[in-house]
Amino acid sequence: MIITVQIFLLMMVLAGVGIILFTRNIVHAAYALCLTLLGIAGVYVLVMSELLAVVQIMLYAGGVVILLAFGVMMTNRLRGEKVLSGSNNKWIGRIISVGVFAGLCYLISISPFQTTSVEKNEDQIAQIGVSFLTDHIVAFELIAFVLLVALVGAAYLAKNAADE
Amino acid sequence: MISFAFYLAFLLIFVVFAVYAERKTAAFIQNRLGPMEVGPKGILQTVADLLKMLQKEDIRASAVDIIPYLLAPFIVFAAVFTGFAVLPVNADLSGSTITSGVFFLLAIVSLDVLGILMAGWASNNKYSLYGAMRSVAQIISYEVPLGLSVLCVIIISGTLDLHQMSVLQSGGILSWYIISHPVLIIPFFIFFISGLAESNRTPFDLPESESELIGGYHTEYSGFRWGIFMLSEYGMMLLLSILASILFFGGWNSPMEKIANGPIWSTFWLLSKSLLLIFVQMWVRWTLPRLRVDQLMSLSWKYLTPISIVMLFVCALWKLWLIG
Amino acid sequence: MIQISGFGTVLLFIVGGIGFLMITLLVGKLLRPNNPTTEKQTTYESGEEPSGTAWGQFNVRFYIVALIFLLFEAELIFLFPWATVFGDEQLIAESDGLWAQFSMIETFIFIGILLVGLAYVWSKGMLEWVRPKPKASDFKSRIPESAYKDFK
Repeated sequence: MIITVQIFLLMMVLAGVGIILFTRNIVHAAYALCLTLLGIAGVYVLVMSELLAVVQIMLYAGGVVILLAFGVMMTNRLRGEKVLSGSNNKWIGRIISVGVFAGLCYLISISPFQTTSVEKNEDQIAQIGVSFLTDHIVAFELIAFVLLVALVGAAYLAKNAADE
Repeated sequence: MISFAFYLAFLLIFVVFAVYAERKTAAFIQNRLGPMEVGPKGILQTVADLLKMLQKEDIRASAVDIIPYLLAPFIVFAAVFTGFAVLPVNADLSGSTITSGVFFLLAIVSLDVLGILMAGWASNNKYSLYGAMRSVAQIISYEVPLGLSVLCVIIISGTLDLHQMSVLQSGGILSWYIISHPVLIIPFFIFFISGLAESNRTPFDLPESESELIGGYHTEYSGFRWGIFMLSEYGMMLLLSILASILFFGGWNSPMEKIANGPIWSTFWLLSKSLLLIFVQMWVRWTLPRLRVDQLMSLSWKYLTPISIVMLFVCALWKLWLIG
Repeated sequence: MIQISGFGTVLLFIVGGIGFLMITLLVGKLLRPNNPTTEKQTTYESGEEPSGTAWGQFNVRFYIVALIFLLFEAELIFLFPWATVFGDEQLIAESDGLWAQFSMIETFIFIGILLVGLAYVWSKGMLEWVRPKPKASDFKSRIPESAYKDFK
């Protein structure tokens, strides 16, 4: 049963990635990104990380994708045509992506990931809540600052765009 | 498994009767009779409509973007229907046992925005796209006060599990959160108003305002595909009403502490509380006029969001005071 | 394994919901007629011939709303774990009531910082929606105002 779900999730993630890579329609690519993100949320469920899965669905699939889709629909200067992407600088792009991929693979291979099976926690969310307010309080408050800075910056940029 | 069968069956029966009830309520408020022809007092009108809908030709404009166009109704319905997975059915049947309960519900329901945007964009129709844009902007704006008002309840209860939350409210009408914790009265109103906006109901039905946008994001859909959007809209109403009755009105608890507590009775209490809230939604629909877009946005961001943040503070202080 | 089986129910709802729709659409396919014509397949535009496609540039306000929403959603996500442990009686008893006060002050700072953000966005007019300004007509009727008063 679990293995079926694993294969299904893998297919979901790969299908999303494949569509993003090979479609020329940017709106389709945005939807396909959602497929990938939901697949990853499923992977989080399988590794017993429930909170992350819910955050993934709420913030990425329900928020970031909408923002992306809006962005595509907003910036489209070509009236009345499908939003298509072309490909330029192919060789630079290939070199950079292979480099990033190799770098990530190297980082993952040297990282000391815990590969033993994790005991299921009854109160995972509560534990995270407690550690936010005790051990990681500085990070918790910094997040608020980061969000504030992001909000101010976004508002500033958007204001300029709206005035144009 | 049982909760799946129960909620699927109940949703279908609910939609059939809710559409009829909606039309009868409208008729009553506007001092006319409403559907009277099919069956006694017109009670089978929706069944007739449903049969007609199944036989309608599936017209697809040649200009649509076909894959997202066909996928969109499935996404909208699946997002709303999956929300039912974490709801308890009665005192013995708790639905899905995931610990993130209501948090998961809010997350999965927010995905229906994606389906709506997809439908509007793929239809390649100006009305559809305007409707979808308005709808998405509206739903995401009201998600913030909705989430904040749910947070107020979570502060009081200390659990995300909806079944657990109902257990905590057992013991008669006086233990229901809205009565035992009067600070939750304002969050309830915020929740209810945001719920109306989330399910695109009047006075927040700008996305499908017939007089300007024909049908909004589902203008290009016909037959049963259109029916799926309607099903999802009524499903959303039902979901948010059941959620409201669990969060604020004791869920499946009977109003009398010792009387009427069995499994069937507790299902009855849960559903009757929710149906009462749905009646209020219909009442609102036929009483209030539609908002303007700028009023809609300022209601969410300038009134409901600040008020619900203040209520969050108030609820935290109340809880602290209760603990002593 | 409890957690997986909890999500198993969720999976059942997703698969079952989609399966139900598919069956119904299939039944519909058997019942409904299918004779498309070019006329039928034109996009609906209030009876006119549709001009161009609908895909075009949209008002940037929608993007701004989505941005503000995203940041508040992120805030909301951090508040959910806090809300579950805030009133935890065991933790409060262990720390002589310090826990509740401490966690409340921390979170009040957290929300306060974001309220500053909301106030900033508000003061910059990002929450205003563009709204058409109706022009007052300067048409003057030749019938004097008093004529309406005299008319009974």
